[in-house]
Amino acid sequence: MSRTPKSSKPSDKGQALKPSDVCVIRKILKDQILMPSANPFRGSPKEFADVLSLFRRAMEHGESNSALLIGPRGCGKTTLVECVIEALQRDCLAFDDSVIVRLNGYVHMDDRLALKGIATQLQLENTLGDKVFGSFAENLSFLLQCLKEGDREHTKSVIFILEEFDLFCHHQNQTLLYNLFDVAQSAQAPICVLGITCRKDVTDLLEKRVMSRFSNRQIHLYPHATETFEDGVKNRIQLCKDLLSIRSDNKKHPQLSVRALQLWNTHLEGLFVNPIVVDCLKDMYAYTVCERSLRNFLLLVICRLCDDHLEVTPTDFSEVSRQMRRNLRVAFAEGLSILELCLLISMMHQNEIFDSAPFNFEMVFARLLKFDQHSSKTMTVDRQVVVKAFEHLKSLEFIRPVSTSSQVLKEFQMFNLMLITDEIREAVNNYQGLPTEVSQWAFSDYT
Amino acid sequence: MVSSPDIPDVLCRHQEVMQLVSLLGHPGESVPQSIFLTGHKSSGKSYTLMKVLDSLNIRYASVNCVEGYMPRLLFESILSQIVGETVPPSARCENIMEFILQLKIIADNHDLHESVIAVVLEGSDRLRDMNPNLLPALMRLQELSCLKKVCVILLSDVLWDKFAPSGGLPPPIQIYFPQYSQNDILKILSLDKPKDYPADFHSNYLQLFVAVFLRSCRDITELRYKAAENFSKYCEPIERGEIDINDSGKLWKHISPHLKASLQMIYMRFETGKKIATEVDSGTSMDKHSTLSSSAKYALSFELPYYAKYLIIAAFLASYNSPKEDKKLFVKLSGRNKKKVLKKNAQTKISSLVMGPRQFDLERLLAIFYSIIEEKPHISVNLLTQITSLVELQLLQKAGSDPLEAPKYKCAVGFDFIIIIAKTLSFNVTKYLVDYK
Ligand SMILES: Nc1ncnc2c1ncn2[C@@H]1O[C@H](COP(=O)(O)OP(=O)(O)OP(=O)(O)O)[C@@H](O)[C@H]1O
Ligand SMILES: Nc1ncnc2c1ncn2[C@@H]1O[C@H](COP(=O)(O)OP(=O)(O)OP(=O)(O)O)[C@@H](O)[C@H]1O
Ligand SMILES: [Mg+2]
Ligand SMILES: [Mg+2]
Repeated sequence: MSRTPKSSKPSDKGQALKPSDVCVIRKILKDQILMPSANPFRGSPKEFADVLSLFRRAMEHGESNSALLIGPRGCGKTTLVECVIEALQRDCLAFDDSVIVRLNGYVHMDDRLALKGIATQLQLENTLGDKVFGSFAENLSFLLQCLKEGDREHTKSVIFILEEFDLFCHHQNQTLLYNLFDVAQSAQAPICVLGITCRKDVTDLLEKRVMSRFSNRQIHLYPHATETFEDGVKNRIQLCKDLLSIRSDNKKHPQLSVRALQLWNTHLEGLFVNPIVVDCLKDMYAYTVCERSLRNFLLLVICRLCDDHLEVTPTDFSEVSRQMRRNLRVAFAEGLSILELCLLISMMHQNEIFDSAPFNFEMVFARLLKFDQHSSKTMTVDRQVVVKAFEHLKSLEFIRPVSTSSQVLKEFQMFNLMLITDEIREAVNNYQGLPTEVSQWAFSDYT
Repeated sequence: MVSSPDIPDVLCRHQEVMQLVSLLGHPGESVPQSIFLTGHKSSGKSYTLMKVLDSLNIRYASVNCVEGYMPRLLFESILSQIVGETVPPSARCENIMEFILQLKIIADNHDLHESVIAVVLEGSDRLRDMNPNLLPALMRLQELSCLKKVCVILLSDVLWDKFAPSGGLPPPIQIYFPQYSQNDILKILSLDKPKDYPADFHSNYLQLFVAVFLRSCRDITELRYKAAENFSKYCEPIERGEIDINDSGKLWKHISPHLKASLQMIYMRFETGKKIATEVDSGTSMDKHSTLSSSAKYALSFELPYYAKYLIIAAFLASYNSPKEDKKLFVKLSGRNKKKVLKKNAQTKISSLVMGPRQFDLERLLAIFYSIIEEKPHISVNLLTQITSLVELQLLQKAGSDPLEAPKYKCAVGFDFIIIIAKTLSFNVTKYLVDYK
């Protein structure tokens, strides 16, 4: 890792950041990048307002409703909802009289678990535990009933947030969804149901009787759908700047002097006009718009700050970018033994000759033996050792079986190669101390 | 003032250590949701990570997903490691929901909201085969449990690409452990130097050792095992006073056949390994056996009875010859005819030998058996039990499970196995094999 030499620090002693400042800065920035609570929702004001008014009406007027929030992975759905809740907490008087129940399709894998989860979050698990009920609907309505029996006349509103909503559609009979939508539609109790999913076609998964009880309100979140590439890049760079700069009104960091804070922010200004940095971000944006990857990237850049590296440099950006974009398939292939690499080359040639038809161990072994006979230095191509090498490639998933039938003998099971010729040849090129015969073989043309 | 963390010293892994420390090593800083450590087997992923976690004093639980085939075992093991004692039966976790609940309770009870908790998942590629919700849920543990300091660390020798198709996995921070270079391997192997030998003597030996083994194997665990095993061999003649400690030429001559024999037994630490080794030692049989390939040793290790040998050969011929050729091959009439058949077929290129065995029925097997065996077996010999035992040894494979149909078989051993068996009978299989060039 090449740390910037000391000379690149500003020469004026008074102008430099101190190691103790950098520690504080690193902590602040990590929080800004990683902590959901330090992360206000950006953009899509209309969608934000939609969800906000949906929840507000449920809380303030006990209005029942249901809706779906749909958008691709990592586009900020969870962030939007959490920020809405936070906003309501700040300015909605009825907030404390409402309950928010969060369910997640990964966690509440069937309706029994979902019911348990609901009971826990309504803090009614003990109430439910004593009674044995028949149907799911009875259980649910009992839980909702319990909320009524407060000392107030008006019952608590419940907001159900169903993350990974599509997974709930696979529960038996969609009982949970049916009952929630049914309660919401018939306004038996004031509940609001918001499903969150990344599947556009999610309503196709709903059974007819469930669909007919759903309000069919859909809120779509596609923040990158209409922006041009140039705008996207510009937004990206602005986002990076925001994530890495420290707001001066920030009173949370008494340890950081105003001077250090200003130094840091000016330093950043310079950084984001640097062509190396801009190119890195542009390259990455062309490759993925995923904001989670961007945050991972920035985290790794920030992690390079330490006592003897007090500023983020363009080199940090380009090195982290190289690290993240590296083709690990090639890197893995470089880490194979020579025998295993030879086996890969055999497979590659087998594919060239037979037009990528599946192969088995015997075929590539025969090819390897042929190469071995022609080469001057004989290698160890003891069959058992080659079998082990073949199995290693299989466990790395460099080759994948065509079918998983156990009827076929190991040696004759058919496989497809999961690497392309260029990757194998690149690995051959980079391999340290490979006999020239092997690399010549890898580059010879069999077709 | 923030003190800088303790940085453990791991040979050849400085960069990876620094990266892990920069992510986890500063108390009070946020930690990422998930970290993915990837690299070849035995590239030191677990070793390095444990060193780092230990020296940073991070509370962690490490489970092997290969063992924890049931989510419940996985969950409970994680929880009890975090608490430091076995979890009470009241904290049973049948599913991820209960797991998250218990985790929160533990965090409350032990006041862990501000300290890093690492959940280390070894062999995490196996999680893909478990409940499809398990991996995505674990990778979002921070979000789902609302514990800001939980970090899930996945270890695997399978690339992240191969996890992604299952969908919906937030990208982890990836740390790649490059394979050790030859020099790295020498450095790590020399950690195992026995006390009573000088360092340069041991490193000379390692040079020889690595020159033989590295072509076929770069797995440190395997190399360490093999290096230690052969080092004692290397030193034997010195201890007996037969070779001087400085006579490297003689020592090389002595160890070279051992190394070669040992290479063939790589990754196979079972009985035969030791048996062969003792054979190599007893000087006389050495020449003969050290030239034997490991497959030969494997074939001979079954010690098949006489008829079984012929049966397995017959099964092989039935598997790799087409039934159409049977008549020409096995009717022992004219040698001339036979040669013609062989010549003609030698031209057809794609050999059935690489395409795999075909099925045959019992009748055909016995017909071939009777035609290749010299003397007719005594009527009392029960060939069918022999066949059953071949199936049990998995040298023959029974195909088709329909109890109403006549059973069909396939030969489950390869050509080199058969060649060895045939040699012990002085029987020429190639003569009967249409596709043999
Ligand atoms: N519009 C946005 N405003 C603020 N942060 C955002 C926005 N879009 C994405 N992010 C950031 O991207 C990351 C992923 O966002 P989030 O978890 O909300 O996505 P999601 O849509 O819920 O994803 P998934 O479908 O995988 O659950 C978070 O770190 C979040 O801070
Ligand atoms: N850098 C090193 N220094 C000292 N010993 C090492 C080093 N790397 C690996 N080893 C040794 O090799 C053994 C295997 O390493 P380790 O178990 O960490 O590999 P791994 O990458 O976790 O492999 P797997 O993918 O099989 O789990 C360790 O027990 C350790 O003794
Ligand atoms: Mg989400
Ligand atoms: Mg390991």
